[in-house]
Amino acid sequence: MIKYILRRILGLVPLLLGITIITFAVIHLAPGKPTDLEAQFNPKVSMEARERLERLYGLDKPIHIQYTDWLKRLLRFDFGISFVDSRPVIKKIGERIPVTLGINLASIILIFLIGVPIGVSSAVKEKSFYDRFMTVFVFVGFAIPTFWLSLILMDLVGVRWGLLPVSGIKSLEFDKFSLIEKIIDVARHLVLPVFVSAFGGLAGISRYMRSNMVHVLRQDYIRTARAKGLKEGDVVYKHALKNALLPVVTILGLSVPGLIGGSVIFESIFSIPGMGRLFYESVMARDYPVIMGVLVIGAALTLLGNLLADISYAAVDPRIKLNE
Amino acid sequence: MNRLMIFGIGIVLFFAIVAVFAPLIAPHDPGQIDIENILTGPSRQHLLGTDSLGRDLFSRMVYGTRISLLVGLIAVGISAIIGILLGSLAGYYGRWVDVLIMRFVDIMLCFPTFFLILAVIALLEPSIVNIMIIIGVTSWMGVARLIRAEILSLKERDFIYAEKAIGASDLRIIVRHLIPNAIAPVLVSITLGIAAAILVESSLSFLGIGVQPPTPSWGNILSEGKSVMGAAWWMMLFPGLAIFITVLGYNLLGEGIREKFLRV
Repeated sequence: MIKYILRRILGLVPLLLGITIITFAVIHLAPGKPTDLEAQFNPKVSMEARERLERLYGLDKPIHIQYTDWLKRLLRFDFGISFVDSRPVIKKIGERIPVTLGINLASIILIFLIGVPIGVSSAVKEKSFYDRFMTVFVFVGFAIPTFWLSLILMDLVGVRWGLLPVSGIKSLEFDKFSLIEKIIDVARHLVLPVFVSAFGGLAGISRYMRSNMVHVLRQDYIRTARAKGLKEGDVVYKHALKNALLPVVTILGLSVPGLIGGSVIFESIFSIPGMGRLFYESVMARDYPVIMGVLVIGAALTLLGNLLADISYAAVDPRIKLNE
Repeated sequence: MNRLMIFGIGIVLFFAIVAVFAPLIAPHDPGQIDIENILTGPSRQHLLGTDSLGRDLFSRMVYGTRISLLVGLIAVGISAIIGILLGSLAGYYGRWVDVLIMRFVDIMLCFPTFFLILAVIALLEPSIVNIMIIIGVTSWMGVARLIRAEILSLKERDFIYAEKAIGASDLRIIVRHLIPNAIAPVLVSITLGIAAAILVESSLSFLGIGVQPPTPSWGNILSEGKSVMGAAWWMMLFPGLAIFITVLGYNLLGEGIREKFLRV
């Protein structure tokens, strides 16, 4: 098992390197220099000052030297300094990551807790009215635009009915609250964002779970289990469910980039200070160091998600290790 | 064909007709400003109401259909071309070509695509052409994987050996024999891809970095709808509904094709 994990981690190195190359290329293929914007809006910046700025960011060096310099700094977790407020990029991203990861983790748990039972029950009652109803629900879930759903919920639940707050992750008078009030306050703020970010994934997982379960229920060992007189509940929940659940682990790992990418949208709608909103703001301000930092870290998080999924898959499925 | 697929085809055809005949369908000029009728609700004059410049929402939605479908179709066209090209090279030549291309696919799949699109679009400029290209360039990986997998199994078949025996070139084998036989699963992926591209375009336009006003797109109408939330429900309801129904249509069509031709 440890050998398997080590091999998987070693395999990540070329991927990480590729991630840095693409990130670097994306930023440097774009027309204009990163320093242009800073200089452009400030008429006081002379040619000389501009050159100094370029030297500061190493933009006067050949491109491959720039890349290796940047890579060397990355290895020390030095992502540079933000153009906007001159704070270290790693710090800016560091404060935002917990919010985004927290919301995504909550929505993954929600997706799992609701999606799996829906998928299983649809598979067990294949082709029933319930199954058809759920199929329609799944298509609706796939097609509904996140930002539209957010807006509608904001308008109805937040503005019209006034049930939940619709902006930020805590109230203005947060500091005066007791601990329990604080927890409730944050939870109330997160209900809508978590629901919205889970909605699309819910459809995906329940659909996937359903087709796995339908497939497993047709296997010979299920017929054997029934033939030896096991109760239907035992057949479904002990024999079939375990096997149908396995691939879902991988899918959850694969859904990480989608969830992180989607955070841009709901974080800007609900004004949540997470990584997605930071990225959006940095993109609008052309804050190159932050843009590059978020791209690399976002992709690295995806790798981490996949790695965890693979390891847990190997942990529960002995066939993986036999094949390795 | 099942009922859901027919429903999907109906939706797809409906919006295609709206897009093609937009000038005939739209009752008003989509750019016509009318300051005496700002944010009026749906009426006989303005079927879906007017926006904050008094422009007819229905006409803007009709023209927005053109933008959405155009972006969706061309973006997916680009991604299909890249995906089919790289996927068939990887599948047919194997070895280091395969390793190189598939590693590239793995790396591209690591990025939260929406981040990548956002970064590139903001560094370039948010024009419709740029949006199509960027969505295409960031969404070809699925197609490449599908084509590669199909070709891996197809290239060991007798008819391919026969082609080789009569001296057909690699290009001929790939283009005339392998790709046409591997295209079915790609068709599903392409159809679903159109839906995804429409969603991405409308998200970008909603965030203000997609199709720029005054050119109407469902996404930027919705963005305006957000700013008048509570005052004009029609500005929020209709564009979202249009995106939702269109995406639903392409998804249903894609799933229908999958069930009909692939039986999985």
